Amino acid sequence: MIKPFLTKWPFLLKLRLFFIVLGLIIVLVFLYLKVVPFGRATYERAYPGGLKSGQGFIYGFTPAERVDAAGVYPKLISDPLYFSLFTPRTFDSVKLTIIYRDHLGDNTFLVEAGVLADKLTWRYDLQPLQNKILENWAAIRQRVGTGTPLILSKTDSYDSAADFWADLKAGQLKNCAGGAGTCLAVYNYPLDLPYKFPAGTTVAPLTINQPLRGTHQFYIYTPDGDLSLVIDFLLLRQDKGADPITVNLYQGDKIIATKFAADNRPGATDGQTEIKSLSLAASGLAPGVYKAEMKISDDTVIKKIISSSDKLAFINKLWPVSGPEPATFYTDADYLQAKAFTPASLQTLNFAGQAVALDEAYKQFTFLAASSMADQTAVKAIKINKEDVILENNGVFALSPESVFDPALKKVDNHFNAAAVNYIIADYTAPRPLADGWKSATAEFNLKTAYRETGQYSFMISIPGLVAESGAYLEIKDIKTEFSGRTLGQKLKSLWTRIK
Amino acid sequence: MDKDKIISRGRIIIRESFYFLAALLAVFIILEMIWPHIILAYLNLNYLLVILLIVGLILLIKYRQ
Repeated sequence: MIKPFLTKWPFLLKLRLFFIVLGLIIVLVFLYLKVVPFGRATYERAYPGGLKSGQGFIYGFTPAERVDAAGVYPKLISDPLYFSLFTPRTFDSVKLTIIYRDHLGDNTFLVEAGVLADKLTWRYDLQPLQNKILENWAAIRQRVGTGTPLILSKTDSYDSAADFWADLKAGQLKNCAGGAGTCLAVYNYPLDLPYKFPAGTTVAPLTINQPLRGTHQFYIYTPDGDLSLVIDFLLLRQDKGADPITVNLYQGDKIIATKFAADNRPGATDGQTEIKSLSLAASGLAPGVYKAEMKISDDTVIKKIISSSDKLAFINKLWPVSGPEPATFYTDADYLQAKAFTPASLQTLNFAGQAVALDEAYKQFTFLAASSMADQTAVKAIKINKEDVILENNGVFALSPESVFDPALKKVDNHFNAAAVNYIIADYTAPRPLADGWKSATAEFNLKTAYRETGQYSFMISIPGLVAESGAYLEIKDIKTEFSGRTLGQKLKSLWTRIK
Repeated sequence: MDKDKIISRGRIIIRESFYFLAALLAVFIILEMIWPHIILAYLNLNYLLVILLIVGLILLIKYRQ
């Protein structure tokens, strides 16, 4: 067979056969890379780049003004940074490893990475890369037990993790006079401690006529297990894109009731506003605190909320718009982040009795309450003279001081107040030190619920508090992503089951 | 092998390489249209186009009959 091929076949035929086989092999290699039949793939981007044969899978950081690309390694100088990652197919999970060098200084504690989970609400699923507060605590405080999660104690109160969990289950930890929730902080660890209102707390119906723009979440308390919400939405029709409306009611992390309204004119930008109303009711619930989420785009306004309970506090964010001015809101956090959404919203606002200037549009300002160290749970008033200001913090916002309540546990974030905390529970692994000051940190993400568009996942690196003016930065040397998902065999099997 | 045969085979190789590269480029473009970025992630098609043009120019200049 070989001999006739070498001696008798015409040269042109042999050459064409060779090119056909070569072409088939090349195409098959690309198809293999597209299908990833064994369900595992690794994509990496190292700096400095060098000559590249293709565009690669991990695209550069955006926005460009938050990156100093002049040196050998890109320097992240402002928060947050985004990068997108192309994958030839979908995967179930990804392990992200970043090699970085930290020039952040002592006041920037957190470095987190996240994958875009919801484009409508621009929500990223964040996981820790570095938390200096936890590392400092781990170095000087007592560790309760071993293994995960990490339990840290300010004092030598517990000999074993089992004792700690038993006390926590009973709602009372040692050296916590006000109950476990008052002196416990968590980080990257879901812990659902029941929040208890004083006995005899009653509720009354509430109507909120303050228009609020974009997605909002609130806690709502029911003493008798009955809840009803009627929410009017105003579709502004100013931006392109669909404006679906979803209202979810949660017990812990579980959705117990949901309502949805599709956008009947997606992409309309004619400014012809529309009003939609959704009502959601639940009865026979266990008395307690529930969470409601109004998932809408920034082109939609929550015009009115009629609630069966006046114990209603908005979580982390309030975006008042087009309401009566001036307006007063209340929060329990000891800081306030405010951003004027338009130049017309620039103003001097009042937070916790202090006049503070909001003198640049689209820029987020952080204001600290003067009494923050003395009484961090006290209700602080926020008086704004002009609306269309995005107010954010790690606490709650309410329209009356009586409505302020926060069932969430304290978080070990940039505004962590160590004085009020005796225990920390965290799911955290410190970054691994490498030579020359480099560190390697790893985070894992579930991609089943991640948002993917045009074959790309969107990632974020969040370094709260990092601003270009500070001179601090984070150098990136390498980004490695290890994906895992279903194999070709599993996909075919699933397809076959569906066909059958 | 005489000189004429070498020149003849050289011309065939260059010509067939040109056809092969052109066909490969066409297949890659079709694959890109079906599954965007699947080729570009690994290979910039401009490189392939440049090689194709060089081979084509050699074929035109050196082996023009």
